[in-house]
Amino acid sequence: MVCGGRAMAERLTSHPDVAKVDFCGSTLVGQSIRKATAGTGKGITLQMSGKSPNIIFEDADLDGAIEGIMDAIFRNQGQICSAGSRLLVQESIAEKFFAKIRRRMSTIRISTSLDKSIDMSAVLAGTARIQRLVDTARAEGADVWQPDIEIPETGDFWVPTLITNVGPTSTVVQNEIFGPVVAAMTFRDAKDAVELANNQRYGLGSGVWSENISLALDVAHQIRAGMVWVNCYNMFDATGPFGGRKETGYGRQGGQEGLMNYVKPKWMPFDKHDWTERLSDFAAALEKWSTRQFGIIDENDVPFGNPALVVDKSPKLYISGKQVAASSNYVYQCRTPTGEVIGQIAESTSGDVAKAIDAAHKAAPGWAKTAPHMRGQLLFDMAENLSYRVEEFAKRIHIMTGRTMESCTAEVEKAIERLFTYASWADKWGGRVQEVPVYGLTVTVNDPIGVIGIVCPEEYPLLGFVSSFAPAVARGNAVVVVPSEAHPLSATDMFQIFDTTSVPAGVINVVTGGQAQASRVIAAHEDLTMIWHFGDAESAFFVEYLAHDNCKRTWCAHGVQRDWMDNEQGEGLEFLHESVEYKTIWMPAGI
Amino acid sequence: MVQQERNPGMPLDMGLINAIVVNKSATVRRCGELGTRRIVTGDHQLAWLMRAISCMDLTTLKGNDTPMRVFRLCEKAKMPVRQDMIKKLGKSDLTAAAVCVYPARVKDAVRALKGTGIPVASVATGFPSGQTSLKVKLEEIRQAVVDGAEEIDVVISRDKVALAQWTELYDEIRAFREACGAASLKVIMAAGELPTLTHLAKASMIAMMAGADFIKTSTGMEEVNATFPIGMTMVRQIREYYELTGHMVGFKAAGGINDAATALVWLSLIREELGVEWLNSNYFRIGASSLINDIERSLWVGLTGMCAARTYMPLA
Repeated sequence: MVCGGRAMAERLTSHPDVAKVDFCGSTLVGQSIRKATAGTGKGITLQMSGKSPNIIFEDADLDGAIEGIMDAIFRNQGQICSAGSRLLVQESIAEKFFAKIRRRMSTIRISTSLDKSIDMSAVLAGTARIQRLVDTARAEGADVWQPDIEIPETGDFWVPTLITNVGPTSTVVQNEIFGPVVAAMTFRDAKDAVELANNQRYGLGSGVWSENISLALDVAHQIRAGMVWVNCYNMFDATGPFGGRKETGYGRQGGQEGLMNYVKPKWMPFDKHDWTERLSDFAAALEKWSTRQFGIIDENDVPFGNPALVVDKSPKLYISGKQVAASSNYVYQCRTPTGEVIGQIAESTSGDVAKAIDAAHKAAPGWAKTAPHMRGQLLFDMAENLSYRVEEFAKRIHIMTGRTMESCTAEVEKAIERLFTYASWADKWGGRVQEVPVYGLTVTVNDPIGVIGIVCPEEYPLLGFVSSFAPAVARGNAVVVVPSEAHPLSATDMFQIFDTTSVPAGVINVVTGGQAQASRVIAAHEDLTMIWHFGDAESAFFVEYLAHDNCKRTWCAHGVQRDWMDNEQGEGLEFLHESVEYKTIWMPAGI
Repeated sequence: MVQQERNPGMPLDMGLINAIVVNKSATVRRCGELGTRRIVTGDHQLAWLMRAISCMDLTTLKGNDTPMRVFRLCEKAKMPVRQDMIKKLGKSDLTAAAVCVYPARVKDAVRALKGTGIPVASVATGFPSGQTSLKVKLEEIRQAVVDGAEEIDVVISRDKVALAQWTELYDEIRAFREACGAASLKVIMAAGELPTLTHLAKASMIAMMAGADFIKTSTGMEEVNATFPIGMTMVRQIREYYELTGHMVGFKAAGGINDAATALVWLSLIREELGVEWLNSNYFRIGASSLINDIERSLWVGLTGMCAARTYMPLA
């Protein structure tokens, strides 16, 4: 066991013999760890800040909820990442409830940890930061209340603090304080509560207090956090996974879900990579990787290749269920192995990618709410529509890659089979009951992530494409997909299949173009929380590095190519795991 | 800028009203090129976006508005852009122009904005439909003023426009102005419910003759709200009135302005058709609620080059 600060963390985590990093701490250090380990191939779990909402409905056991607030923000001095540091109280009971809180706060005993009759003890790392934030609250017009209780004269002690008369704009509502300070707001109804709860950069914990099971479960489903505690708070057990989403981080600790972060498929080699030389001038390296000369069409390249082979192709992008032209006029050529031009492929701009991400965000909530069975039916339908055109799709692959028709036909048939597989998984991987020591029901729900940015493998132009979007879509996500750069025509041919299948607009979006450029835009976009990248190891470095900014979750191949035809490598648990955010809901029960 | 005398109005001039005509297709054509002829980028765009914020009436007009909901909106009016961004922009005194609420919520807004200098605007006169008696409409205005509203947004009787009862329309608005007293009067045209742009132009001129301090496009609840042709028509009448009387009347666009790009085109319209003197909260307002978040995201892109996550900007 070693001690040290940020420098030690960077040193330790970037050591070549370390294969996996599990970090719990501040966002700043977590981001520096992400940068230091980018592209190395190491597994990373990050568990950083939170500003978790504790939501009290009018039909809660109010005194029970008061004790829940003790657990959430006062015990342990509120110095836990999942602290319920935002209190949301239904307007109808607000006055009564705040009176109860004040009464309870006045009975808190604070002393040194050797005193056997205490509720709270000293805070870690001094009181200066807490003081600064509480002063800011006062300056911004908030009401700051503290009970009149004794604290030891020396040492870092802080009197539990209740801040009211604040809104979402307040500094103390947006930022983690990491102390026994709770910022309270009121809400009218469940819709309000959920909107307020999710209006934050983090996504770690939450508390829901209500004796109405319909209400509690509805709200639990809508909160975007890793943990939902119903009529309780800060319950932990190694059997159940713990962790968060958004800028809290990714990965889980505990449970089988947490174990997934410590394992890799048996067949997968563990290649280590070192990119320290790229770090010496990151900006220049980034430019070099992601910039390329836009295709200036050489007059000699056009006309197209043998017209007997193929009708010329100038595919568009697919955004929000429509085929749209890229906003630049730049294209590059798709060629046969002998160099004949068979397509002019649009170079998506960062604006096009951003538009696609926006379209996906619009579609994601509706798709996530679509009955899992119906999602499955859609994918079955898609497989059926593809099955009518096997020969045509196989021929396209054959012309692009030069592989035998036999091999290409097998690829198309495998793609159909894969769609069947994920259609079946759409409603059969909902989560797990966790056998924690608390009586009641603790379940981990496999929630959709929302929007996933996917950069496809170069190999297997159709199968790679299908194997990428199908698991994500089956599990309720909307996707923005960048197909194979060299062989994108199989993906663009799929637009018609999407249309015939009536894929809801925005659930699947496809942006063609240079994979490096598109990867850069996707990796830097702050309204994206997950990226899958099946490209080379160097690209994985840039993607993971850029992802540090908003703590984006990433799944990178680091240059490991898959045999997509082999079910062990091309589908299964790995893909499902990367399609979801585990939300663990604790529901203690008893009459 | 010289502080103008408040528009005193003038007697109804039917000769002028009868001469007003609007060619719809010409108007639509001119509006179609607005967004393309004046592109604002870089630091200028950041400044324009902040100007748009300073001209916003942050609005909540829902049946389930409560004191707390109004409080939250007022907090956003005081701090419309996140603290760290305001610091980078160096504009710590940026606030919204006003908060706009229903009469029952005026006291709550006044309480929440106490000491900030941000005025409370109240809708009145049977908003949004206006289908109630004149007596009740006037009482509603008076009560809102007593409760502390410094601005009153009234609706005209669209039936009077449909039936060409211009004198009655003039008299009605005149009565609203008197009931307002010192409070500023914004007259809502509800343009989406008027038969033609020509009717809209006539009604706009009548409102100004009757003493409107602002003319406003819509309640936000019509099927069609603030479109550019509607705005263009009204703004051209404002210019006519100014040339006739020397008095500046303000313009408010409300409803259907959902993103920063659209807001920038509105600023461009005002600047081109009326002039820079109108491009401040004394003479130009945008009524909106969710627009503020899109402007905030656009400011973030301008400051950092990154596309921000929606949930990171504090709710209005």
